[in-house]
Amino acid sequence: MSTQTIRKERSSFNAWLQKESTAGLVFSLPFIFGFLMFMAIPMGLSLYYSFCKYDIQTAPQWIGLDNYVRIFTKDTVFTKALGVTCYFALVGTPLKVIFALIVALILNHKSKAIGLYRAVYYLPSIIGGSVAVAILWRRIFESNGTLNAILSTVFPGMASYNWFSEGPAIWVLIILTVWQFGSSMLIFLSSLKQIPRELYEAADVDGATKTRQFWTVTLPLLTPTIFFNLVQQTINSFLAFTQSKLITNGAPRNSTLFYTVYQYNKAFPASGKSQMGYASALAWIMLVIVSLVTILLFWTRKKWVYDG
Amino acid sequence: MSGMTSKKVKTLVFHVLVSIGGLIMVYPLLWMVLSSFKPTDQVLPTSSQLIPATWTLDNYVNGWKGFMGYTFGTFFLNSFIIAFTATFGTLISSAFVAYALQRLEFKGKKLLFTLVLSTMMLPAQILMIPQFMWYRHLNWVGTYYPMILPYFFAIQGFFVYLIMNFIGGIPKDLDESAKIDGCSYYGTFFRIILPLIVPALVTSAIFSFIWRWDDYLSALLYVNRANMRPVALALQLFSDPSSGSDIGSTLAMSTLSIVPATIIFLIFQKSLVEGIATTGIKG
Amino acid sequence: MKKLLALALAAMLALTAVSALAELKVGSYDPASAGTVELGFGWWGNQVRDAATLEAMNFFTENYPNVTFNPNAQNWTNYWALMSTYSSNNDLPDLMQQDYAYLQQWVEAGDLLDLTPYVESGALDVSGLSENILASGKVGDGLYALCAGVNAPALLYNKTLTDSLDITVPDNITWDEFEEISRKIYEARGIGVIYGDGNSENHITYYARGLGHQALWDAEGTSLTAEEAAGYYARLMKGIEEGWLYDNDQIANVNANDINSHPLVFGATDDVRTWCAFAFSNQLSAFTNAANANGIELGITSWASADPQASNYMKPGQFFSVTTDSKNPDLAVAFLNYLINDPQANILLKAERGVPANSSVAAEIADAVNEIDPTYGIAVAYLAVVEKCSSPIFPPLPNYAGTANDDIIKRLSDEVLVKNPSITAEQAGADFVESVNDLAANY
Repeated sequence: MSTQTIRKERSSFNAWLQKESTAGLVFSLPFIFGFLMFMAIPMGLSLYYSFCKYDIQTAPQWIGLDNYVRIFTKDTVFTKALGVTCYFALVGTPLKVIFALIVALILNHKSKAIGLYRAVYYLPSIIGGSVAVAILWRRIFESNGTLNAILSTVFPGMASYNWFSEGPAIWVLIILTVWQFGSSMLIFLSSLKQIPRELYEAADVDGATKTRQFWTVTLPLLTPTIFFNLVQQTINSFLAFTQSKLITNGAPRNSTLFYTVYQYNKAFPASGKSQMGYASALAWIMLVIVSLVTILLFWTRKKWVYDG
Repeated sequence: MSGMTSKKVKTLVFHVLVSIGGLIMVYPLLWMVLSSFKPTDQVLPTSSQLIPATWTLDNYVNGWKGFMGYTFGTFFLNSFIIAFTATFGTLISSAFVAYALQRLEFKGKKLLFTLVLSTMMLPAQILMIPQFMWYRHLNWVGTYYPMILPYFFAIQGFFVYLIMNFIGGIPKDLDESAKIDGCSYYGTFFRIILPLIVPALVTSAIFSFIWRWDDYLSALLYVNRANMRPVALALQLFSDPSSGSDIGSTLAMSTLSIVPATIIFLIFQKSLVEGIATTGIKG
Repeated sequence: MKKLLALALAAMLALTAVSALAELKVGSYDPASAGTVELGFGWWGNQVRDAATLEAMNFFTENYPNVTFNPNAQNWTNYWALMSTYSSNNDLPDLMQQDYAYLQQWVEAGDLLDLTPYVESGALDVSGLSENILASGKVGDGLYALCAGVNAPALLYNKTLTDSLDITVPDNITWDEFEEISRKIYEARGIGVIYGDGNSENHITYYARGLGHQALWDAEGTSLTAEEAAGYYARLMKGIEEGWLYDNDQIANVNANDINSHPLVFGATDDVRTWCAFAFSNQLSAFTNAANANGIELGITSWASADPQASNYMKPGQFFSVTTDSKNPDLAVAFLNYLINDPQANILLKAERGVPANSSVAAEIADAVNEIDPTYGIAVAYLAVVEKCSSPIFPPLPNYAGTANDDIIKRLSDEVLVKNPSITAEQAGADFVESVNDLAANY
């Protein structure tokens, strides 16, 4: 081969490399490789397990659709856990987003102390789903806990309130998730900054009140951000795990049993053998549900999100 | 004049209300931090009093000893190693992919974007065991690889999406003029885009660092040596209650465990808000 | 000269090796001959157990510096999740702590090594273990585990409280006596009982044994008839109705998992306290520490049953097994021998896993352990009472037992043990029998 052909080949390779379509793939390579290697293969395995009886210790046995049939026909805990999770997601998420929005509106002020305030309101989100927060939350709400101690100091003789009984227990977890509204709040704060001042000035000229300005200017321009937070937090709520696992583990009467916890307990039961196949089937059902909910949210997007 | 006073009153009311709200917000954390300075047998009986009657550092001394002969110093170091490297990998790879998906036209882009979004919807618990099965084929069990290497391949769609939105906010003219100047797509990325997305990278870094720091589930599966445990896992074992754990030490170590993230947040607080601000999130 | 020195050194080394052998009871295999190796050892535990176990390992390493350990201490839930994962990876530690209930499943999965050849060769000395205790580690013809310590179900109660009310809690307490006392305490102080029925099959097993069944489960399902099972739920429902037994909503509100804040030893108000806890005798030490911190003295008796002699049992507490994944089974067995038979090891272990199964070791370490932990003597005395008034333990649990626990016992407990139960005791009893048998048939 002459040097010329080599040069030619090299330059044609170079030209190929410089093409936009090639560059796109090159830049996407990490994800393509990562997805195939770390997502697709485990997902394939998990799909396969969902059709098996599999206790981890011995080889999986193919049982076809049995797991799915059992889940949909016999498993009452599945229905319960799904209900609890939907309740948590559908009640908790809007509350959290609304709360984050309100606090962001309040903190959208010019003041020297504002950095400190932001830090204070964001701090609870820093500890996130860590074990520390789980310990903390139990300590606060249990019968011997801080909240009841405070209540009995303020109202002497008051019997301790049962926060972890069937009705309020799920709310203990909802309050926890609402308490950690920090990241949504920050995203709102930044969007608020992006709203052009001219719009408010124009509204002032038109004589619109502050309340009216909020409804006609601020809120419509925030809808894309509200949508983003809603999607993000809804997915997160459906997949919430740590709160329920470490704080209540489903008690009482499965009234706080999150779907992911049920699934985890099937895969790693506190006593007895793993039912990994069954847990995998549960996981795939959840994946379908979350996808459907997300698609539904995107479908409603056109109706209320303002695309300026 | 009366307008001035009413404005002052308004400001005062604002500060009072925000402070009270802030106090309620941080009360649980304050409780944890202050209780960690109480003698361990006083934590529960005096749980309604915020301020310790007697201050002590015993919990920190006892807690720091750790267990299995390793102090919390070891666990903190491990957490730093894992969180830093994984975060670094996440940033670099996510920026690459985000650039491709936001700026370049190529076949299969739509499919890739859908897959990126889908990674946001996969709960870690679903993939845990199959991932374990796969990593053991790769001989990764007992190493930090499973907690670090995958993050070098942009497997967290959230960050790709976040950075994509940010790049979307950078005027396209910059790319065009770079192209006219003879810059390749690669050059454009490194010379034009990368310097401009630093705020978004800082934002992502904070989120990623906190998430990696808190992750104890994968550590539980892949770390089989006491000296390799990260803080989150050590803390979880530390606080096992089944036979009377030391609550004072647990609270003390929990307090220490949120210090790094808090410091990072305080340092980058300003650019965090700005980072997201310029990201201009649009669904 | 140099040669002489070398010889002297070698002689000294040999001497220390011999004296080490004389010091540590490791059986006929010499751990020093294993070369430089690492031994994996996994257990579930807590801070106290972890520290004690680590000391016992360190002492071994001091004598055999060629052996180092890779300890893997977890809490109960994580431990089993992790070990089954390791098992799938053929990566179990050389030595693992085992539970009586799960022994059979682990043997069936092929994860545990049959120790019989080592007993025959003298590498493992089991002469100090009683026939019953040794048998508890057997599955079929094989010996797969050695008992680390002996426990028994134990009812720990607030003696300060009962004394103040002039109530004497008898040894081998019957259910009627228990009801009577609970009622009295509830009427006098409003303090009830946390029973913890939904957590495990222990309670209903204890009840079944009181009716003359040795075990709750067998291969086909439960040994209880629907009427008998209904009787179990009926007596609990009666307690809830009368008020002295907390219902599951009330229990959810207290953290009975954490001994420090267990309502037996701690409570802001009386309505969240319990006068007794259904525990095991090796928990006496931790409970006593927590109780003393709150100015409470504890008493100990057996769980209540219609027939305490039939119900109660000596429970081989935790076991140690050598796994089939071990690359140094000889060494693992030698270390196991040390854990079971060496007095110094057992002093370091503080009898935290229960009273040592080797009875001569148990006697030998009594003084030393008593000095560290005064409750040891009380636990030993209690076990002596139980030994006289108990029946052989049930066989290891069948495969479906864990699922039956999670799915059936917990569900029925949740349906029945509430203020306004949706089903009657008869329905619960029938449901229990039917569900368990169905599960056993289809597992």
